[in-house]
Amino acid sequence: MRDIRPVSSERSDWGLFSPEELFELMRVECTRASRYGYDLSCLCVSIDRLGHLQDLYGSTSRAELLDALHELLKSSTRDSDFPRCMVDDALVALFPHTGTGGALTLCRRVLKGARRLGFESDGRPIQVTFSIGVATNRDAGVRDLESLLQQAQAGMALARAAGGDRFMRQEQASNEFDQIRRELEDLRSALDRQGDVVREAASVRRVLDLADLPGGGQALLERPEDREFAARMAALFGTGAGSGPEAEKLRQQAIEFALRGIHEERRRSIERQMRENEGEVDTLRRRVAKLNSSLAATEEELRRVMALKDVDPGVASIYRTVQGLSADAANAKARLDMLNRIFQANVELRQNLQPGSVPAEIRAKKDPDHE
Amino acid sequence: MSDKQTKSAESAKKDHGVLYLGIDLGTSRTSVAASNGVRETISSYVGYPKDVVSRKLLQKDVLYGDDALAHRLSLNLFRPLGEGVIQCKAGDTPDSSQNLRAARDLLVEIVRRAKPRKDELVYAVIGVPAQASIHNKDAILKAAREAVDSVMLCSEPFSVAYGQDMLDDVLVIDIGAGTTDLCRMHGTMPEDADQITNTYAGDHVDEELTKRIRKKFPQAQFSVQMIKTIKEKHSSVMDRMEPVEVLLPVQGKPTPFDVTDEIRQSCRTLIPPIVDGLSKLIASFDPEFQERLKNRVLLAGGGSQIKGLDTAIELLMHERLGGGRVLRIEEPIYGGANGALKIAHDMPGEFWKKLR
Repeated sequence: MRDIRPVSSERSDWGLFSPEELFELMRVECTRASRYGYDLSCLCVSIDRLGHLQDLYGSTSRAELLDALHELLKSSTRDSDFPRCMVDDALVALFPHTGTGGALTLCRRVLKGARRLGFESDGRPIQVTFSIGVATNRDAGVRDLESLLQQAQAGMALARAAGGDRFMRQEQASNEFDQIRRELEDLRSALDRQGDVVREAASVRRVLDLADLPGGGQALLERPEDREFAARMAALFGTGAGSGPEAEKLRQQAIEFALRGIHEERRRSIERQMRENEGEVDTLRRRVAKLNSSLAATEEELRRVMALKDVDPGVASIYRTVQGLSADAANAKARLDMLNRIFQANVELRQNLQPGSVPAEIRAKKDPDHE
Repeated sequence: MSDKQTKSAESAKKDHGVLYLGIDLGTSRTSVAASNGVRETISSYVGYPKDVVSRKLLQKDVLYGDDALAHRLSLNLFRPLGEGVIQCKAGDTPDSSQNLRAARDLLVEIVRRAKPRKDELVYAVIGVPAQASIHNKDAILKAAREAVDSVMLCSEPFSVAYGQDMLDDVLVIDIGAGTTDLCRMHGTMPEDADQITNTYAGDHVDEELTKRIRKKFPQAQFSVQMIKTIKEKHSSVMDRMEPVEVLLPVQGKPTPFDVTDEIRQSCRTLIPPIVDGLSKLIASFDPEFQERLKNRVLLAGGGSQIKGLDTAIELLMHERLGGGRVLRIEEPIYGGANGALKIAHDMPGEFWKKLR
């Protein structure tokens, strides 16, 4: 966990307690809440882009902003809703007898208050927003003060990563992350499906472009029903028209003309469909790109939060890609044959286990455990 | 696809490592060897707090291995594997579903202990007893599905032989807790005729030892777990072994008992069935290669740690088969897992993808 220092280290008139005393007070409050079973909330509030504002408007602005944050929090809460500490540039406060609902109401109140704060520099107004992380002692994984603070800090980090001017709970953030992941998966599969259609349509177009219709494209555009249509036309002309070479020529021309019209209409239809698909694919690509960037930002933030919470990231495998048996290995051929047979046995096993693939009674005969 | 796109696709691919796992899902111990260098083993016990009070006391929803055993009085304790396979029958009986759940949790835990990174694909080969039924394999696959991205099953003795690079004319004896697997390797995948499984294994020794101690010292109080601990510490089949004196309670008072002979005799009950199985496998092999096969017997599994077992098997082989040589593998606990890891690594990539 990050270094915790009390508000009083920033300004002497903010409190009378030493950092250790304040932290101890928080711990006592947390233990008491756990013992008597009452709700306890923790808010971790930071000023968005504080470093940036300090760079722009000087170091005194930083102190002013932190003062304003402190005053706002103090005016929005009960006198008993302390102790509080500074953790990095964030203010951490405990709120005894305040459940999730109460904490969220307080967050809304603080955010609303922040928007009303009026700061000016050289006559220009400065808009200040806050990011708030919320955690309660009822949240999963909260056992003591440290875990409570960690969850609140994680929530704050996620709120900041999401653009600030908001509050977040770590649980809620995880759900949103899962939602983004699911949506991304759906979009990817939709894109794959759409990609198949486009590839098919593109191949049709290539053939159509290469073919000099109606000669070369005939093979593609002709369908069995066309022959039936031509036969009917011929029969129709045969009954009504006279005989002779002129009549025959006229008949052929009429049939060709009709077929050409049909093929042209089909080509237009395919191209129209293709254009629609391409538009949809383009939209999907854009959405995937946006979601990918959002996912990358969230993953980056989660990595940061994991580092903050001291979560073991695991040990990296020495292999970055799938390996496989080396051709230089001893008995490579025989081994590959064995591996192939293991694989085949596993494929067959899965096939046999699919419902309906093997009748139950046959399986029961094969398997003495089957009752 | 443009060059740029190709490069980004390649780099994205390289960002995701592949963690291979070799898992020996045993009745007594479950071991894993991973391609990140992690090797872990836990007792195959899973415990769930009995009630709210025990949950509050233990601060955990599930306990595993020795931790579960230590708190077994406050837990619903499961040993999900029996005779090397998950204890579940067809149909959705409460016991079956609980064992399946315990097995699934055990696999998830052993995979977690292999410390995979979140961005890695996890491909696992799980060793199962040579003659596990299709129903048992189904149960293991179901249990594994949640823990890994792709999974394959293979015969346990085969994985031991593969791990030792002894694939030609070798007889593998894999003594587990639930079963003893005998497997004849002759350069190809062993078939049913090449494999024999019997239940004269670690649990059988525990039962024998329990019976013998109960008969000789009826006043002594003990549990199966105590017997197991005694066996694991002192097991031997040697004529000359250190006297084994253990403290067992009698009416609440710890009392010393000499159980040397009981341990020796109990452990020796494994030898005749093993040599019977070896005889069958050798006798049904090509006569030209029988001599070579006899002299390449590989002793593996937790049971191979019994002191003097290799020599005792050799002696009985000499008596019944006119000779034989038994080699003990160096790492009895991880022999199966190491072999399974090697299989996982050597398996072509497209096979893994097809089974995902």
